[in-house]
Amino acid sequence: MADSGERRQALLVFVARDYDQTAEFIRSIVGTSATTRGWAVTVWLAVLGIGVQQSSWGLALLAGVAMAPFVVLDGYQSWLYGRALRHARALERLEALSYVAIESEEDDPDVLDDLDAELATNRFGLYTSFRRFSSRDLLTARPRMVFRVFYPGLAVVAVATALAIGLAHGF
Amino acid sequence: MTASGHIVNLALFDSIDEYCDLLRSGTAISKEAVPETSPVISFCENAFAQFFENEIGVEIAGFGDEEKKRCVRMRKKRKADFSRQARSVMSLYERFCDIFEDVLGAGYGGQSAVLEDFHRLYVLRLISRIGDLASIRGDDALRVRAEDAATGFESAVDEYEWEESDG
Repeated sequence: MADSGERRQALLVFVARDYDQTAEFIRSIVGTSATTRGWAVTVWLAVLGIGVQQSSWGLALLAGVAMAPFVVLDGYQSWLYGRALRHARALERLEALSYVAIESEEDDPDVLDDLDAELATNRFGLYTSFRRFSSRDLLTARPRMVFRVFYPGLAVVAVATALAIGLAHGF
Repeated sequence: MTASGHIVNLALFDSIDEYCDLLRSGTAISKEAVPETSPVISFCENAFAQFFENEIGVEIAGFGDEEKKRCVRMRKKRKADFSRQARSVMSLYERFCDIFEDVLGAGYGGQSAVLEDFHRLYVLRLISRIGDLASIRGDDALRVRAEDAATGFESAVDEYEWEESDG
């Protein structure tokens, strides 16, 4: 039977492995999100550009509507990112606690109990904490700036351009 | 020592009672953060400041990296000068420094777990460690006040509906 110190060490190895996997997942999500936003701007610019060039208010409006799938896709990626980030932070807290335990075990009477409690309640693995994605999750997608300013901004510019074209050339 | 002769002023614990009312009314935490003007923040800041001034003999205020370093240096270098109870308050202060910004809402994700730990572990422990310190100094008034505050705070924290942690 391993003593409590050895058991702690063994569990911390699992924590480190879990953290590495979560960090890798976050890296891939960040890359995918950046690509999605890049494509969103490219599509928006292309459709809006053609709309302006051809004086077509419908195409200009389409540039705004075309953002919707990107919002959903990016929202899903952001939701995954948020879940992974929470998991990573929980693991970081655990590792930070083990750091504190090593440093101030003799002066802090509760730190080892805290560490044992955290290790015992930690849920190993990122994917098991995922639940089903729902459209409501889009409302809490982060970074908020992207979903409250960036995408709405592109849509507003597209609508304003469509209005300008419509007023100048007739609807 | 405070004017009344305690390491920590007894009136400071009124902030905890006030905060318990806020917890019970569900208004203590807003937007996943404890407001900087909250009575519990005021309690923590003042309790540590008074502890350092009256027990350790230095002025340390706030929860920054520099303050933490000063505290660690003193705890390590002057270990023999301080009681075990005083060192336990110092090490708790160092942990406060690590999470304080997150408590005020600077954290990004997993806030609910941080806030619950802040209440259940950190603040409660601060109150009880002040009580322990009062106990070894024979300051019964402070010990009793700390025990009362800890009991009230623990029950208010238990009654509060914490978000489920999904770490």
